[in-house]
Amino acid sequence: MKNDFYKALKNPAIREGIAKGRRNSLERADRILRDYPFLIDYANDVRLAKLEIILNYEYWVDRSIKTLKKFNKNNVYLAHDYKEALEIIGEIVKDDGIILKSKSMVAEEINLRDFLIKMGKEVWETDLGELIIQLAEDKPMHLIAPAIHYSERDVRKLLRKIGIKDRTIEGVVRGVRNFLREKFLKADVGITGCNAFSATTGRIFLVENEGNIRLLTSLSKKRVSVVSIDKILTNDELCLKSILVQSAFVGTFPPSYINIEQPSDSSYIIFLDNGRSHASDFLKEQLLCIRCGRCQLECPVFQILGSYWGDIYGGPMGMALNYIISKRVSNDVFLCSLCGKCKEVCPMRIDMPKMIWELKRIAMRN
Amino acid sequence: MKERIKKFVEALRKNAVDVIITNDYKSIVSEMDGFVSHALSASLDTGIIFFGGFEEKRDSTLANHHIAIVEERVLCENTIDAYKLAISKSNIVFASSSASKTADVEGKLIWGVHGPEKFTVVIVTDEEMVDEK
Repeated sequence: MKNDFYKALKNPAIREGIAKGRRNSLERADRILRDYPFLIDYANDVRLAKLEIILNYEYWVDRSIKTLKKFNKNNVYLAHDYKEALEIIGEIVKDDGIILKSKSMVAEEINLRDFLIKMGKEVWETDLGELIIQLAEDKPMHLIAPAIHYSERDVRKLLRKIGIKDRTIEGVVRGVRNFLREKFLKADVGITGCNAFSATTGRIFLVENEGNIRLLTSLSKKRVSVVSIDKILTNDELCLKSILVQSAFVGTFPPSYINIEQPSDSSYIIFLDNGRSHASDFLKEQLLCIRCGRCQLECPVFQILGSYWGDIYGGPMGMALNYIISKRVSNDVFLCSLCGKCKEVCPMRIDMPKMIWELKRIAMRN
Repeated sequence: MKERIKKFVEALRKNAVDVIITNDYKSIVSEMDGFVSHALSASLDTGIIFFGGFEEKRDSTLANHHIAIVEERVLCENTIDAYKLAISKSNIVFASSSASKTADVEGKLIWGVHGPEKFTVVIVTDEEMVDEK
């Protein structure tokens, strides 16, 4: 058994945090889907569009790049793997000092924060949960709620590292606001991922509740977006539907903020393939994922191990996605009981158990 | 109250937004402290409100209180229609449905983590009515 599993088993905060998050989030998500039934139709529309796109990434990436180049001739890139992505970003930010990031799983995938810190940059996560993870030198525990396993007491202790000493959680949050507000005003570079990308207009859709992305995209002198190619959608309408469904299925609908970035000649956009366009046929369906994190909260294994179960991406959605990215099958897949809950709750109806079953067969052969 | 305004108000209240309905927003807003934006469009069913302009986006997020003026004529049936109307008016579009919030620490809801702590929507209607808060 991996050391990480023992670490998770010995840490009751993971189980308690996920259980609490699950209760809060799923109850809200169910109510939202009852109150706004059209979201199920939106999910179907997004699924159908993505089913076509995943079969022809070559065309859709090319089309997306051509759309962007109408606005921005020089700063659009396609990174085939994580090393190429880091090289490109390293070159873009080489002369800059303060770099701010939004919460982004694709940035985790390429280990961007560590790379930038090793370059000698001052790097700050701006999402509160992700800032807690940065200060704890941990990995995000959930796609949407990265610090779900930290208690209020843990958080107060961690934030002392940046001089925030308030005893109340409201005071601590105010401290984070003041600390990061100063960074926002001085930021040289703002780096985000992308929740959905419109191939027709080149617009980037970003969804959030805190307002950090809105500040980062408004105040940073230089804007860098890392877009994994599975975020490409045909048009703006589908992008909007996708982000609304994403927030609904994890209980945060309507999102406080929807940011829609118009392509311009001053922003840098890096499309990241990292194995996606060459995914085996039996795994392609995983690329429909819109990263709501619902499957994670519902999975009985994830409820015990959190994202320690999985390498880059944790939980059911991570099993196939990690294989697509790394081409390595981990023994992690054997923990899955194939109960099917992940498929049942997935807005994209991704058949994760079927893929995990196949991955188990590959692992057995290996 | 008109049915469509009632529906919009319900959606806004679900999002924990302060709502004022008036036919004379100028006198109300002049007494309020905050950054005032005029909505390009808004969705009746979700309370998602679209705004336009780069400076508007920056300044409304830096403020502690964001006040949105939503005229009845910009209300749309759903979010997709509201987006289409907004993007027909401005290239730089963004949307808000509540004040800035986080539940990242033990699921506790805290307002104003990065953006405005308060979000007030002033609905402007031609209906004859007393200001309702």
